[in-house]
Amino acid sequence: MNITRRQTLLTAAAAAASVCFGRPTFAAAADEFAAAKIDWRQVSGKKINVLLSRHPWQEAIAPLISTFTQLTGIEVNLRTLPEQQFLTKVPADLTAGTFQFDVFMTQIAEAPQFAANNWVETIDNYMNDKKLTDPDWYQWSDFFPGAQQAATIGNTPFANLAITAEAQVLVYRTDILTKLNIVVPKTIEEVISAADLISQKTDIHGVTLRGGAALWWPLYGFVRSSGGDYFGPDKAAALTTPEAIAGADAYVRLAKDAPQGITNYDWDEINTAMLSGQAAMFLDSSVVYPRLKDPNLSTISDKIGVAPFPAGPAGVHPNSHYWTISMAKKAVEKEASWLFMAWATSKPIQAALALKGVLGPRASAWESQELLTALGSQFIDAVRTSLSSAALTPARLGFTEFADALRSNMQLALSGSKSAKQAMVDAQASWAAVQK
Amino acid sequence: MDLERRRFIFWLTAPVIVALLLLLLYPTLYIFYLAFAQNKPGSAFPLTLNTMATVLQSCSFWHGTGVTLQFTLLSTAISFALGFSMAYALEIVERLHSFFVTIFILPLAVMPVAAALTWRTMYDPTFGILNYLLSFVGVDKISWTSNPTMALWSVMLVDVWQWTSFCFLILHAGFRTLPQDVQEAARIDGATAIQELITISIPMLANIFLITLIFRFMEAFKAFDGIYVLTQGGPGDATETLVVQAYREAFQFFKPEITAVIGIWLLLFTILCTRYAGNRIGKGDAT
Repeated sequence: MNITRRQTLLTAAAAAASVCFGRPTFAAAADEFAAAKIDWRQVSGKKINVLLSRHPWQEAIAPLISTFTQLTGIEVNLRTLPEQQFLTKVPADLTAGTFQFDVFMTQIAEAPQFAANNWVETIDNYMNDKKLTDPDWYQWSDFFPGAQQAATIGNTPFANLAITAEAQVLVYRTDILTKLNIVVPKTIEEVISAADLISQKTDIHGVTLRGGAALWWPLYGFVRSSGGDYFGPDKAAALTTPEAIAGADAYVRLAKDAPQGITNYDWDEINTAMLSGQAAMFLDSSVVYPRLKDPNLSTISDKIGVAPFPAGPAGVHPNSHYWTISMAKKAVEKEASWLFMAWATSKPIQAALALKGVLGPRASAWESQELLTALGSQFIDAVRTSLSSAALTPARLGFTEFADALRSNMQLALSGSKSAKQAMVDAQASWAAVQK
Repeated sequence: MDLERRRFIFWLTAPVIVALLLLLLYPTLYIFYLAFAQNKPGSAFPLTLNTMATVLQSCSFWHGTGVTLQFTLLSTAISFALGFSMAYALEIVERLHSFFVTIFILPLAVMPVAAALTWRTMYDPTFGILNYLLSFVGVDKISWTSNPTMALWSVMLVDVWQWTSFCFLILHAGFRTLPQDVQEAARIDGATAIQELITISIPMLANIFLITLIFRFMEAFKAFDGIYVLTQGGPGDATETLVVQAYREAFQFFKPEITAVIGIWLLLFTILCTRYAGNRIGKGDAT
């Protein structure tokens, strides 16, 4: 149910963002595609099926798909599902062998499972095929290093093309920090003391944090910045290292300044807490920013500052996230599918999407002057800095179960019935039990 | 004519039989297949007890069983007691009778998920109306769904709220079927209201009570919507009933065989708990 509300908000945000940042013309792009030394119309007349999850990226690209058909003559049958149904339907249909789509959205955490089940097609041979891709025009090196790693995450075959780039950043209320003379925190410890001070001196909460099913995502930034990791080099869980425990402990200490009931807080709730002025700081995905700045959605649009993720003892290592697109192993029109994927992740399209507020995995898309004017240099710099040293989700088989063991024990730490250390020790043990 | 008639009957029942086979028998058999099939390649025997053993050895299964029983028994008992008092009260209250009946059965008409979402808003520690009202009597903010000890009671309250109406409805109908003359006779003989209730009404309604309890029990046993909307089984595993566990195993962890085993246990529990009562009612009908 969360998802529905979240999706509504996201949709609204994307729509609003497109009004704010949208550029009416897309004519220039046609010339940019002509510059590629391939025949875009080589499989003209073919038809492909594309399945997307409802997401700001999907909202932004859907209206552009007609220009793809004009360019290539390939007909695109687009289906969109709300995230919850999407995430259930895709694996269910793939398991049953009834999956009807050629191209679909994937998440990096799922990649090892999809690869193990042989559900996705290896695509680097299409990328290296001079007939289908002009390497100088497509410029794979333009993708952020993390986005390039996402393609083969967890030692899977090259199957996922990043379409979005999100990094954990610090979003704060400028008015409150100024009022209390707090300098924008640069370390995790500074964030904790700032949050304490805000909670004591004002009637709003110092911070808002996830404590629900997806708490593993922001927690990973804390653990990595403290020098720990979820898994060790031997691929075994490494939650009981002093560094990982220190990261979890910082998270639990910071959570004391979060609104009551954060074990029910996920992406949607922490957003609402910021939008409604309940909390003064936010340490989560950068996607939230265009929404917070939108005066139609936000009560605090003129009081928002953004900074790179604060440093821990081991440096600045926020978590990052990339949504990706993949080609189904059973895709019928593989060449047409690849052309669609290449088009969707090409420089011109990424630039157009960025202007709609959906920031992508290509460095070039972040450099446009228009984008800088629309979103402000503070935001662009903060996300770019965070992305440059960001950690990437440690995807592996069974990650959902691992994340759940972490959730259930960390929730007890967040509600004060366990220490952070005990929570990590117990999570390690229950994950070990599942592995048996 | 006879053949014609038999054919007619056959065609009338055929859709039901086909539907039952497809929708009931096949999934049930498939569940047993999932639970006991040997999926290690190369083993000689096609069946295995490994999955069953894994589930029975896991702490979370037994914890889930405990939570489920606590939730089911308490929720059934409380909603039955409340439903009974409401039904009995309406035997005495004459004015605005139909108004009260309508009000009392209203929660039944609300979709469980919609109800749970409303409760979720009411439970919100900061904005929720419950903590707001409690603040007037000096009660500190309560973490309704995020405190591990409180959470089970909170989800139970939603279940009780929703299903008390059901108990009320059946018991109310039961009270209405009681013959007036017996009650009058008792009153003329000088029985007090309590005596009349305990020695006359309740024994006469025993089977209705049983039916209400069985249905209510089974409903609470498979409660899912409210729990999933309010806590998703958390915080920790404080509200993780077997049904929530089964859902997660199948749709989050992609382990349908574990879900199948939990499903079989749920089936056994329900059969064991309701068999006695079912038999009794069956006999009652026969005589």
